[in-house]
Amino acid sequence: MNHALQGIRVLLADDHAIVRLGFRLLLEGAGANVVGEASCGEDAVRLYAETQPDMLVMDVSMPGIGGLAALERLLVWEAKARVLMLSAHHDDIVPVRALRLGASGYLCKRAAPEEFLRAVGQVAGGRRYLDPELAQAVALAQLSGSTNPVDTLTEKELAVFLKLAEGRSVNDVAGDFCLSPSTVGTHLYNIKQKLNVRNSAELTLVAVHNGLIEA
Amino acid sequence: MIANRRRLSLHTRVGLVFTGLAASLLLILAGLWLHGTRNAIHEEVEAANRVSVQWLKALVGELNEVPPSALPIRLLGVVRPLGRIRANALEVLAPDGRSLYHSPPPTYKAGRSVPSWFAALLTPEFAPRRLPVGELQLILQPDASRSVIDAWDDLLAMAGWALALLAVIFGVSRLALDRALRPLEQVMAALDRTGSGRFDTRLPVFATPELGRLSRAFNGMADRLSEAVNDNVRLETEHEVARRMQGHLEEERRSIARELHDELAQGITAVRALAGAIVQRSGDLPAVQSPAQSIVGVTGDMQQGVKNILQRLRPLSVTGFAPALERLLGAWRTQHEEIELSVDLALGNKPLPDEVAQAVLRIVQEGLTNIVRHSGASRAELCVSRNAGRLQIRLCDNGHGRDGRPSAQAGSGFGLAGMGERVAALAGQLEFTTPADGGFCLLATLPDLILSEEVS
Repeated sequence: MNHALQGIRVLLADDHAIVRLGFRLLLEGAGANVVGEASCGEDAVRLYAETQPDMLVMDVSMPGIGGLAALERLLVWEAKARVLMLSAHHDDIVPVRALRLGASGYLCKRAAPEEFLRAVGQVAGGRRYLDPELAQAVALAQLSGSTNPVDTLTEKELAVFLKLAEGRSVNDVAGDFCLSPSTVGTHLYNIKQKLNVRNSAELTLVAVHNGLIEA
Repeated sequence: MIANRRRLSLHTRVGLVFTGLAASLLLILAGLWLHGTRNAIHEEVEAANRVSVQWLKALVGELNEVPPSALPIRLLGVVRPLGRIRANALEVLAPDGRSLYHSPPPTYKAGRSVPSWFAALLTPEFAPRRLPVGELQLILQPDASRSVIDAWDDLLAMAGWALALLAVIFGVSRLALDRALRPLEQVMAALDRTGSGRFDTRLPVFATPELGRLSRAFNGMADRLSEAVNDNVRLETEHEVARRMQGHLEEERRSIARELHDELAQGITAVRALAGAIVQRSGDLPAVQSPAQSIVGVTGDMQQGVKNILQRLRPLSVTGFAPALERLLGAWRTQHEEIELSVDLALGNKPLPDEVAQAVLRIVQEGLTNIVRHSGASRAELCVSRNAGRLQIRLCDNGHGRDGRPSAQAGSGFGLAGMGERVAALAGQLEFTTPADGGFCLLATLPDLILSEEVS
């Protein structure tokens, strides 16, 4: 047992209970203290306020508003929050987004347990962390000034885009984000313009092709 | 007038032509007959005239001894019973020119006459013969009018027969044509039926050799036509089936990918984390820690495997396709530095269906291979562009054109036939051209529609 994370208070947010269990055991094994578990973005924000952890470990894709929107909300409320984002995807867009939004770290869920613990340690220590597997793609995306139209979406539009691409309706998304359907409709209009898509099937395809959601 | 003639049926027209020909022939015959008749009349009248003159001369010789005072009585006594002498009118003139006697008009066909044109045509010219008898004059005037009337009567009779003959010729030729061309009605009906889409129409083989050939040609054409239509229907059906299957396949892939990602990948992540937790807690239990370590390692491999499967299930995106194409071109360039390759890629941002992307890669690869193998070119140019829902590949070289190059026909081997099938399977078009200034050009156009969109 190493105790690299001794005394660090961690909040876990992931919609898979068994995954949370695994991470919890790993974290506790390294000496950390898991102060709460959330299964959706809204819960994560609420629990963060309640438990005031040292850091939040949060999956990008979750029911409700999802990880990115939760991150945005949380940082509005607590700008100094340290958040390590997890994702099952390995593209460059979501990590860049997350890091721009203010996430302290970004880790691919496929990473080895030790890598996960190291990432948590880095973020808890106030440093930033980027999955080595993604680092190159992210750096290149930044350097080459990617022409991917998805990059032109605003944070809000991206969040709405991801939800719509998952097949949720405008009303569902409006409910998730506590927005009026007409606002979501406006976002949808802008998204379609920027991505040059005509219908939701194409929208999904763009998301799939960019690795934002699984096919 | 012309419109009127057009309205006549073929039968009538051919009948008229026949009848006209026969009529011309008859007219020529009539002309010949007229000529002959004219000569005959001439000879006949002349012969009659001569005989009459000789006979009259002999008669007149006998009257020479008669005293002049009794002469008129004696002459008239001789002449009067004679009446006309074989188509010659007789006239006796007194010394002062008075007519003492004129033979009576002919009794044969008395009172009849012929149209003046006909008479003018046939009547020979004869000068009257004058025989002096003492102081009197005997005038013998040849008169062909009776022969001309005979000829006229003959002509009328022949004309009647000729008209009857012409009528028969017209009627018979029309009937014969009617019979011979009756199959044309069937041919036209068959063409009309075929024209209105009934491709099962066939013609019987007609007895007339020409029409027999016509019907065989028609039936052959109809067979080809219905085969082609059947082929089209089959191809369309196959295409539709393929499209649907492709759609189902995509749907299936998607759900498998979702399952893999949502359930399996998360499960593996969980197992990995749990195994990691066991490793953490079993430092003093090597018998537990080492298998747990193995689990961590194996789950890592499994995650890599899931990632690979997900990547294969995921359609080639533009971002995945462009690098693949670049890789292909880069590899080719390093292998064939002797050929200068210029590339213009305009792939746009929209995702490309997997099959299209694969086809493009394969077509470019095969096209480049052919350039190396067959063209002897020093320069090649590749353009890939997307426009209005179509993706176009244009690959040109400056080699020696089509010489020794396989054609686009199926079975020609090399890459082109396979390329053609690949393009056809996607309902695209493939063309090969040899520009005027030499070289060889391949032009493939593929629809870059998104199949899954249509199915969903």
